[in-house]
Amino acid sequence: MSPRKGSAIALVMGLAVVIGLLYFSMQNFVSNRSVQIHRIVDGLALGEAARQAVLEVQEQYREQRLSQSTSTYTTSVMVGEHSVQVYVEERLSRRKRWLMSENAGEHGMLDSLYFLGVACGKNDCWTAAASEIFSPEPIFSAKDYAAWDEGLPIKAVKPVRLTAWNEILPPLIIRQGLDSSCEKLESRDCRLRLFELLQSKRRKLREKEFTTAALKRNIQNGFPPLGPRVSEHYIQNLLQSMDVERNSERPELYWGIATLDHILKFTAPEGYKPPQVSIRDPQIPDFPQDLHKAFMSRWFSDQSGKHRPSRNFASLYFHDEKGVFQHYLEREELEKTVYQNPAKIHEAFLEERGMKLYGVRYVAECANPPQNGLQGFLDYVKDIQSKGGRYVHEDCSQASIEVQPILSGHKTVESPMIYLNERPWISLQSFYRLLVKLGGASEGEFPEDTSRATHSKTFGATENRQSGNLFLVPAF
Amino acid sequence: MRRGFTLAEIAVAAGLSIVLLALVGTGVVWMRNSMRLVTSLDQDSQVLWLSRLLNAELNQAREILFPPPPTGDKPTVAHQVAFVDSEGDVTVLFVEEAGRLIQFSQDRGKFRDLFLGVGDLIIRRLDRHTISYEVKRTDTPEPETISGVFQIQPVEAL
Repeated sequence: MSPRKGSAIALVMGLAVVIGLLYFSMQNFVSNRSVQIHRIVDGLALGEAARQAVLEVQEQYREQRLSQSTSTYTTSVMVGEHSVQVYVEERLSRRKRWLMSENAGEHGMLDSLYFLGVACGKNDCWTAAASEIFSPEPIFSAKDYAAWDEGLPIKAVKPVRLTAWNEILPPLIIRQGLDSSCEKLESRDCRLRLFELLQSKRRKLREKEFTTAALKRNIQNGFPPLGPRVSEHYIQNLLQSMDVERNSERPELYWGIATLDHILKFTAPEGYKPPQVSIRDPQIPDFPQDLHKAFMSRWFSDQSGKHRPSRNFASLYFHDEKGVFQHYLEREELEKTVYQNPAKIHEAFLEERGMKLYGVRYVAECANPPQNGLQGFLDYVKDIQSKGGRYVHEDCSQASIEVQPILSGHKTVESPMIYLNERPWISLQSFYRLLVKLGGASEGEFPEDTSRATHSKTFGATENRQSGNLFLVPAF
Repeated sequence: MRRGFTLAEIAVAAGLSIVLLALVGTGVVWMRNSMRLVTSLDQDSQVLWLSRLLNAELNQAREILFPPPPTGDKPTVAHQVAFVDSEGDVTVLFVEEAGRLIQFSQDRGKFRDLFLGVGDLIIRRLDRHTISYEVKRTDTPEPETISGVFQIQPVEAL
């Protein structure tokens, strides 16, 4: 064969290979893209099927308890062409709380039904989750931080049974929140972990509701009409300017003032001696033996489900039967009063949580620290905030104050309590953390010498033009 | 003497050329069709995606803050929507100057690009819990509007 012929054949074969490769890559591309699009559409369908299945089982559960012997129930529901596995958990909430330090106890307060629907396609599983709750009728309760935290009303309300929440969870949520072995939620442990995750998300929501109250109100009242297109910076600055509560750190400021006042007035009980300091475990009252039975009978009683929630049902779940937003508005009024009359600070202090250990640190730059106690501190902060600072040092253009919370006591209420004589004084955990912060205890061990429990203290330091102070208050 | 191609060789070459041409021809047609299909699928998925994105965003809403609820029969209209999302963060959806649909979360302090090629976002507050939306796209040959109505869950008790 001549070289020319060989070249021609090689050229032809080369072309054939190139065309083959083009075919292959195009087919691959189209196929991949189709798979991606199908996954999106399938995901939507799977999520919706899971939700439908959950609603169906919820409806069945409205009439009767589906499993008579156990508190879990599993079934399979066909929604269109999708088979959805539905899991139901009957849950009783039992929590330990320090109730005003006197009525410590474990109390049952919410009974709830959790529903999970899991629909799996070729690649992913989509989950629908819902929770149905019975009206919160606390067995033991009091007006205190725990009531706020867990949403206990202070008195019994009519039984109301309704869906508290339902949502569709994409596969990513399960993978991120749990682990890969939990993808299909076949294990009960995985399901319980998922419920915990969802509940904890809602607890955080309640906390956040308070911190965003000012921003929400300002947006509702003052979001300006804007054109079709606005710059990112404009929106960011607008929201920043409306988020005044966060900017001014007022909650911390008032805790600081209240803290200072408590410190100034704190005295140890008369006749106190160090050996009288004792540490006691929470006292747990007996829990009714047939509580579970009682809950279940309430679920399916004639009255159950017949009462529809009142318009402001959500507010039942907050302290003193008021919603978070309402609390915020009331507090804001109180703050105005406090500025006019500092003696009202006690009301602000008690209104917030009732009791806890709290510490606050402030750092003032280019300014003199306040010299005359509560009134001085209040005037000082007021001047710094409103007039740009009356106590500015020479050579300083601007005075500033930064108030930082150091200890947030609300996590410490379940710790054993330190008693002075018969009077509950401070939780062990809070006290330990307090001492650590003060440098009075090394990390890891509770100090043996509890004599320091009789004193609270402040310290301050001035260096150059920066002044700092630490205020601490024990939980009464 | 120069030796030319034999008849059999020419026949084979012609056959191969025809096969190649046929392959190239059908390949080109197939590729064109495929590209058209992919473009169409892309556009469909973009429509689906945009609507899904908006629904997913609004699905997170627990409370609408802006536009305000109507006082009479007429809905209130705005080009932005502000709401409290499922994480408790205050979130704003808006179109920025370059035509990007943006989600801004105040608490996280972050912007998230949702979609490029949006001319306008029109939000109508129909009642306390219901809004309708219209998104006018600018990245399509023909003007295209995606619209929907969304009702938020009134209250999350827990």
